Amino acid sequence: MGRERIQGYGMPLVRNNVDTDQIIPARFCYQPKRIGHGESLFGNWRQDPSFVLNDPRYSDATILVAGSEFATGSSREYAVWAIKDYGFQVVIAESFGDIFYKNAIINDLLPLQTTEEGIELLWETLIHAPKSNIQIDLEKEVICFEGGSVPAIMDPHFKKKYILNLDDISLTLEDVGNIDTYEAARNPHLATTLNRVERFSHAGRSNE
Amino acid sequence: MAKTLFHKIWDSHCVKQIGDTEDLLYIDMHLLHEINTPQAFDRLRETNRTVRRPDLTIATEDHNTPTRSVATLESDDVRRRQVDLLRRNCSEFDIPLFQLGEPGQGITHVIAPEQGLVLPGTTLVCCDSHTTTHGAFAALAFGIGTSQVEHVLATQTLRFHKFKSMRVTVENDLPDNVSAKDLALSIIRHLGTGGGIGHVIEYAGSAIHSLSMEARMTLCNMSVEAGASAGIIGVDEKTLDYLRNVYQLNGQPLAEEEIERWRTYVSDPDATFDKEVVIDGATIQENVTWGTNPSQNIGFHEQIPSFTDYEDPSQKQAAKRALEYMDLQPGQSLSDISIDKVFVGSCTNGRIEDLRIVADILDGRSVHSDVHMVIVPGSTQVRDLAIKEGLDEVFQKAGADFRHFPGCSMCCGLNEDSMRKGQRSVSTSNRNYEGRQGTEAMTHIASPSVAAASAITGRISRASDL
Repeated sequence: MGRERIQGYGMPLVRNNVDTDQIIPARFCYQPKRIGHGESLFGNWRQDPSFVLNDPRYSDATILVAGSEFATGSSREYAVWAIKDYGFQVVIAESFGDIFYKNAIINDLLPLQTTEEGIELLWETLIHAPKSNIQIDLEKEVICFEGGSVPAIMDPHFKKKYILNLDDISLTLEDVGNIDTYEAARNPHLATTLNRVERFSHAGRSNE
Repeated sequence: MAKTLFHKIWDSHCVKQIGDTEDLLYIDMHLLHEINTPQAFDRLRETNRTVRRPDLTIATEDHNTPTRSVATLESDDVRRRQVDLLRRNCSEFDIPLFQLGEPGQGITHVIAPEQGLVLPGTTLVCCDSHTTTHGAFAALAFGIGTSQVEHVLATQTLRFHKFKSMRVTVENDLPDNVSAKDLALSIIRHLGTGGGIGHVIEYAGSAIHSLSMEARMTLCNMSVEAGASAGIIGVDEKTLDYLRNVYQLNGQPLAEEEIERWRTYVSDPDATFDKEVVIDGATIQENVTWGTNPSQNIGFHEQIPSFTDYEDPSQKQAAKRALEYMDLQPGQSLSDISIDKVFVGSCTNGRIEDLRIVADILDGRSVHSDVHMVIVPGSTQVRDLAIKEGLDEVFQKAGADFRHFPGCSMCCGLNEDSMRKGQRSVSTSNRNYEGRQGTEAMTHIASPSVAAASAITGRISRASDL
């Protein structure tokens, strides 16, 4: 199966407006690595035994189904790393925070939008039938499951990037000639940080 | 063709167009801090890449640093390791770094403007969502993730998805005592926390141009709380005066042609926006959050709402949960709410103007015996100026806890200043999320003047209530 088709079990996170401070509270963002953050996912909320992450019926889930405005707030990429480390490959939501969306694509976590009705239907299905098989087809732009199908919404550019699993930095470095040309013509009066620290400490001393 | 300010900057920084929806943009300034960067440097080493322009990059230690003494950092292994990694990475890649305890150190978004690193018509990024702050200088400034930090370090560019444009026009000046923070909270309540998603918001209108540069930074800073990718304000005489002063303080020459070029960084009169919002500044009142996201805020003439007041099911659900978390009852007034802590500081309200407002209210008064008031300057420059003006003595006499070392402190709860379970604060910071200032702690976001007045009465109050 190519990267345009994904299937798995879902987990209903029946909440809107889940900010990245909830996905991984700041005090858990101390490991200077990209991996090993799965245990910190929803670090505060999972203390509650009734929180969906603690429900064994969803322990095999690889698709997180959240509500609207998922992962707004802090830019912490730890939010994406924690979701991935826990075992999710896809997050379906009605809308996403801008920075999280970019972080997710770069880290190969698929952020997929659907409609408000789509989210409601997915939540309802997963609450009643936790082991429903969810099938995502990025080419046909549809999310299918027992009980219905809802649209899979993704900007074509990001979709292509996800399907081809392109690495942004490698691609940009292919255009290094364009960057050289741009820099050569750049305004020489623009600010630089050269000697900034030294100049500041000198100014600081002279004020004492 | 008439262009918006945002499109002028975008187009002049486009290194290459990539497809219909993405452009490669050149980045003029890159700010770093200790929390969200170590993974980016590790990957640079793994891939044998280097930092393309250390001279356009600058780092500071702000998120987890102590504010009482430098020594506290030494005794905390986790925090010291984060700071040590930044120091090692900056040293290895020749990136200038402001270390804790050194002149110039402070919160990224406070130090960059005061050091003249933020200029009209430029692009700026930082691994922090409140990078939107710098839009106050007609700069296009975005918060980014760690992988994007790596991209900028390696290429001095970033691939950006094309944003939509929104203009929020505020005509008529704000009433007395009503600040940019109150305006920001009103705008966020109007737009909702997701209303700005995918947009760059330009603030325009007479009320905006009446604001000081500090106040504009506060407003642009909070743009991200409406979901916006950036906030921006066109150049006017106040922008130019601020920059002239900064250049003079830093002993840098400033060419007249540069000033003339900066003047062009305004939207063309007939430029069109994807979305327009118009607000009457005279109707804005002092606002305080009651809930767990910044859009859940009210004025003093309003009562704590009931979740049944909301028609939208998602807002209803959010309000129900927020009321429970915040331990509040519908119908309560703000002035009914007793508090334990007051925090003045952060990239939103940790500048000299904010400290002056607070000192003015505290002068000759005392902080309530049940309240611990913490004041953390946004930078050493802010601190030194506060001391020079005698504000530290005012704070001390009033019984407030004025800290010596700048940093994010209680805003993000990463240093030793977090709140305990069940404590309640009035905070001049930007986020009242669940657990933001400490596990099961409750946060009310407000302006510096509301924070100061609340510290005196022990309840959420306005200066006019004193």
